[in-house]
Amino acid sequence: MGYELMEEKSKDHFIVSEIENFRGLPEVDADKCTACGICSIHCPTKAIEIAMTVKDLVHRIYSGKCIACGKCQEVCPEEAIHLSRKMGQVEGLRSMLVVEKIINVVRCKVCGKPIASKLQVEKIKENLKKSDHDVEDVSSISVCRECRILLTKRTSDKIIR
Amino acid sequence: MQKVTNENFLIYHAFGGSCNGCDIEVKILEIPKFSMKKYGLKFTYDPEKANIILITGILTYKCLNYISEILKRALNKQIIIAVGDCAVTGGIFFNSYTMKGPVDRVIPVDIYVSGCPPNPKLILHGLLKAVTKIREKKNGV
Amino acid sequence: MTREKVVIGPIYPALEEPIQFNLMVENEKIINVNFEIGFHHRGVEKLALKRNIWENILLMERICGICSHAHTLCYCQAIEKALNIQVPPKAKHIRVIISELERIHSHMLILGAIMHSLNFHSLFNDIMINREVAMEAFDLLCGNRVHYGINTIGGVRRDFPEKPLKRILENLEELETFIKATIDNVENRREFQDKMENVGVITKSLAKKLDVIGPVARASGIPFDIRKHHPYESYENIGFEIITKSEGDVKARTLIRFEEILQSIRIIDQAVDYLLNEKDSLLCSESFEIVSSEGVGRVEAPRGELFYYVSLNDFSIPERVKMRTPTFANIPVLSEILIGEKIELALGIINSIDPCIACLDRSLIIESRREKNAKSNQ
Repeated sequence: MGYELMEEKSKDHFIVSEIENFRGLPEVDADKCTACGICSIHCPTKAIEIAMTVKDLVHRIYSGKCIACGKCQEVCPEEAIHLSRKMGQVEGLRSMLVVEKIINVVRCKVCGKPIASKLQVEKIKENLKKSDHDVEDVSSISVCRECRILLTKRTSDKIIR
Repeated sequence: MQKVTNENFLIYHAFGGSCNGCDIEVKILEIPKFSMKKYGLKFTYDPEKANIILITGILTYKCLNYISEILKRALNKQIIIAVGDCAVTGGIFFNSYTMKGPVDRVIPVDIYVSGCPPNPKLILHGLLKAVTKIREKKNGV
Repeated sequence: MTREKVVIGPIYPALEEPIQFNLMVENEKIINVNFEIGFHHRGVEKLALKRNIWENILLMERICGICSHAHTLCYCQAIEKALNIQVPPKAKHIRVIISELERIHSHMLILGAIMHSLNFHSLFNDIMINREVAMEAFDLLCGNRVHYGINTIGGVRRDFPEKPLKRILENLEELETFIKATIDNVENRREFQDKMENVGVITKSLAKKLDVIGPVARASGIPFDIRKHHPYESYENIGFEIITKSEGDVKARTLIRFEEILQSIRIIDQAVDYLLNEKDSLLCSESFEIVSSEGVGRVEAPRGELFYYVSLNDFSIPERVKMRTPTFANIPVLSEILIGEKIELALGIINSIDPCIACLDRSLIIESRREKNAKSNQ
C-alpha cells in the first residue's frame, strides 16, 4: 500500500478528503468569474491574485499561503468561488505551490490582448440596448485602450487635413 | 502489523515557534490509524543520526539561535522538510517583528507540505516522497 | 556530594514545546530551579492593531492550536459586551458543544504526555487512540481537525445537522466506558502509587498565596470554576458538578482530569438534546454599529481562566487588545514544588501543571552588547 503513495503526482493531482463539509483549497468557476478582485482584497494572507500574463487573464491562488478560512466564499458577489475538498499540495519547489484558472475574456479586434471578462461586456451591452444605443458602433468594448488611441489619432489627422 | 520494507529511516523534529497545531499532527503519526512504523519511519532525539529533519513554525529569534548549529551541519547530508503554512511562507504571521523565517530564507528546502495545519495523511505522503529521494541518492552513488 | 547542572532544554522527548529548565542536582535531588522563556514570542498584540475586528478572529485562533476555540470565544465575548450585541440561544448551545469537545481532547493529550513521561507506554497508546473520537467529531461538524473557525461576532457560522450529532453521541458512550476503566486502573494498581502519590504536593495555603487557577487549584481544595460562579453562554440552564480533591499531588491532578471528561460528556448530552428538540433557526445576530467603548471577556479554558480586554474607537480597527492566559498564572509554582524531588520524576511534575507555552510567551528579553560592556566597566 505504501508504494502507491510514492508515485509522482502531477500538479493537477490532489489528495481529496472523504468528509462532506471539508474546508480545503478554494476552486473558481471560470464561467461566472468577472475578475472584479473583491476576493483578493479581503483575503487575510494575500493568497489570491488576479494577474495578466502575456496571453491571458488569470486567477491565481497560492496554496502555500491559503489557510482555508472561507472569506472569499462569503464576499464574492457572483458566487463563483467555493471551498473544495482538496487537502493541500506537496511539492519539491516553492514555485509549484500554485493553482491557476484562466478566465473567459473578450479580446481586442486589432491586437488580440484581453480587454475584460465576457460577463462584464455582456452586462454593458444589455445596459446600452436599454438606452437605445447601437451596440455594434461602440468601440470601447471591442478594441483595447492602446489600439483605440492609435485609431482616433488617424481619424483626427484626416479631419485636420 | 507487517512491515513493508526492511530499512529504517530516522526523523528529527525541530521546533521553530509555531502554535502547536502542526506539531501535534506530526506526533500523532505513531498510532495504528496512520502507522508510520510500517514504512520503517521512526522518531529520534539525536540530530547526528537522523536522515530527515522536519521543521515547523515561523523561525523566531530565540529558536533560530538554538537550532542554527544543527542546520549548518545538515546542509548536504540530510533531507529537509518544511511542514505547515508558517514554515513555507510565514502564514498569517508574515509581518511579525520576531520572524526570521520562512525556512528557505535560512537553508534550502527539499520538500514543502502546505496547509494550516496539514492533515496527517498529507504529512505521511511528504515523508514517503523524502524516502524515495534518499533511495535515489543511495543508488546514484 | 557532587553538584551537577542538568538542562531540560528546548527540544526534549515528552516535552512538547520549547522552554528551558536549568536544574542544580545534588545526590539525585533537585536543589535549585531556573527557567528561560521567550522562544515562542510572535508579537500577537502588535499584529492585532493592523487588522480589523473580523480578521482578528483568524489571528486569535492561531495563538494556540490546542485551545483555539477558547481564545476566539473570549475575544467575541469582549466585543459583544462592548457593543451590546445579543446572541441567539441556538448559537449559545452550539458554542457550548464545541467548548466541551475541546476540553475532552485537550485533557486526553496532557494525560497521554504524563503517562509517557512516567514510562507507562501502553497507556499512552490507548489514550491517544481513544482521543480520535473527539477529532473525528470536529471533522464531521466543523470541517477541520484543528482551527475550527466556528465563531463570529454575534453568533456562529455553521449549522449542525441531525445525522452527525447522533453518530457523535454513540461514539461518546464508548469513550465513557474506556475512561471509567482507566480510573479504576490508576486508583488501584501498585506501580502508579510509587511515582504519583505524595509527589509534587501543592498545599492549600501555597495555592492561595501564589494564586494558581484551573484544575491545579481544584486538585488542592479550592472550588472555583467560571462556569458556575460567573456563568456565560448557556451554562446556567445545564446541570453539572465541580470536582475537587484535597491532596494536591500528581495523582490528584491526574484523576481530576479524568473525572472532568465524564462531566463534559454529560454536558454535551444535554446541549445536543436541546438542539434536536427545539426548532429555532437564527444563527447570528443582525447588523450592529461600532462606537467607542471597551469590554472584557472571561472563559473557562481547559487550563484555567482566560481573560481578554478590548478597547474600540469609531473605526473597525481596535485600539488595544490585551490577553492573560492561564499558564501565565500557573508557571511560577514550579520553582517551589520541584525542590527536594528526585530528578527522574521532574518531567512528570512539569507535565502535571499542563504548560501551554504557545499561550504563555507575551514578551521577549534580549541582552544587548552595550549593556554587558557597561556592567563590566563599572
